[in-house]
Amino acid sequence: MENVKNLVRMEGYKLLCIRRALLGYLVLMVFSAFAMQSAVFFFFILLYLLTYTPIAYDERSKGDYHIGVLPVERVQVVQAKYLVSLVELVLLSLLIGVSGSLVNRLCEIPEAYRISFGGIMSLFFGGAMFVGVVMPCLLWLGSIKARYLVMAVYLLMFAAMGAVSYFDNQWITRTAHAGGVWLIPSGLAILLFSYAVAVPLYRRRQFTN
Amino acid sequence: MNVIEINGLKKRFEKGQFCLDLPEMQVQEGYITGFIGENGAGKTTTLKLMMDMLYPDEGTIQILGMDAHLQGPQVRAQIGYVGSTPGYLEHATLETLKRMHAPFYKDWDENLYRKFCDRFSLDGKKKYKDLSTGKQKQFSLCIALSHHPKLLLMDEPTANLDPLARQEMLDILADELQNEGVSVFFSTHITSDLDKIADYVQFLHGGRLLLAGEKDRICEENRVVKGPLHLLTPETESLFVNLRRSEFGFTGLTGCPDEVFGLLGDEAVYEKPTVEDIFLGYTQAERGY
Repeated sequence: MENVKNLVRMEGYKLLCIRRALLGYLVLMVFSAFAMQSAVFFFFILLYLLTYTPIAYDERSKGDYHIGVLPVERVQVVQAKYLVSLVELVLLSLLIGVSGSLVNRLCEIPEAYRISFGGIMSLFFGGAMFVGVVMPCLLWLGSIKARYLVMAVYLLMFAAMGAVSYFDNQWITRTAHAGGVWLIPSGLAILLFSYAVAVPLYRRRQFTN
Repeated sequence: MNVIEINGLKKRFEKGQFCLDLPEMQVQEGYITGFIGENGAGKTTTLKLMMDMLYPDEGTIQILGMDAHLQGPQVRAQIGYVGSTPGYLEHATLETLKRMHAPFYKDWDENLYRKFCDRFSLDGKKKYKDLSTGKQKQFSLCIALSHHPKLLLMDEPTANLDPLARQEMLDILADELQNEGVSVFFSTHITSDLDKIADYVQFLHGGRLLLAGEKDRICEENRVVKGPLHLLTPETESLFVNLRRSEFGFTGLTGCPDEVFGLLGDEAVYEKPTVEDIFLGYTQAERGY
């Protein structure tokens, strides 16, 4: 457990190093919380950056070699990555929730566009699904090889949302608002399943370049 | 005792058509062993296999009596590793990097770390990216040695360093060996480093071990012979590992100097070879020069 804690701390330092790339989006996300649709957009952009960038940073600066020479089990590296992702998911959802409720108090926002409790739950679930699909690919293939796959998942997600909005522009908001607390255990279950897939994949990975 | 023991090791790379094939290799405890080979010979691959970053297709690697693959974390806890690219966060300060690294090692010695920082004049407030290449290598060495490793593995530690920084690095290695009894295994293609500090050498070429043993013994057993061309006959030529001819005469490396002396006598000149002479001789022979 001590090693996992140290690896989580290491991820934290890494995020601090790339904070400039993230800060702008974070501010935009907070200020976009006047409407569910814009909050969703920035939430997923930020989540993409938080998931992809540290691994890409590692690969570019050979940071994965650095982790590779530490006296840790590979399973601990995966545990740390998932823990950090979970914390990021929770924090982003909370941030949108807090800024959304502030905006709701200060401004007159139509009911349909407001950030609701159900909406936050749906965001968490959607984020867990995104991390659950992308993280095993990144850990198995590395950021360079997996980038097209990650991009494809991302585009597919936005294309699906766009297509649905085209036919029924209230569907996303309606569905999001309909979310409940049950989405939290569902999201956690997805992450847990994804973790179980990622562990053997990362164990098989060899650092050739 | 051997700190590293390799048996029947094979690692194939399908794309590059490269195969590392080390049927047997040992590294002695308490000595500095140089691992020499041209670019692409398989030095980094061997080191990565030792660190369990790559997995062997066949064979085993025992480090300090433990299996490098099955007991990876326990093995790595006893190793100080200085890679060609250490992979530290470039924007982090040295102090931050140390704080990230130290908790992973039970035997981390803060006083020793400070001592090394003082010796290398490393300022903890400086960012890693702002250090010169030499200072970056020195910092890597600082980190690698501060947890009292039993074995120091280094991948091209003196590459891209100026002569002064290289000498400082070699001095540290010699000191550590003397004071702490750390066994050192380092890959390089700078042969003069091996002449200075290596006790043992391992020559790698095309994924195979060409020659291995005590450096002084290998140098004693071989001779660089120079002489006029008319001394070369099919009988004498067969005694050379490699031969280079020019209009002024020939130069060749031989592994049987007594026999060559018996045939060529005082007409030829006999010199003790450097590690580079031996490396070039055996590598060129493999390439059919």
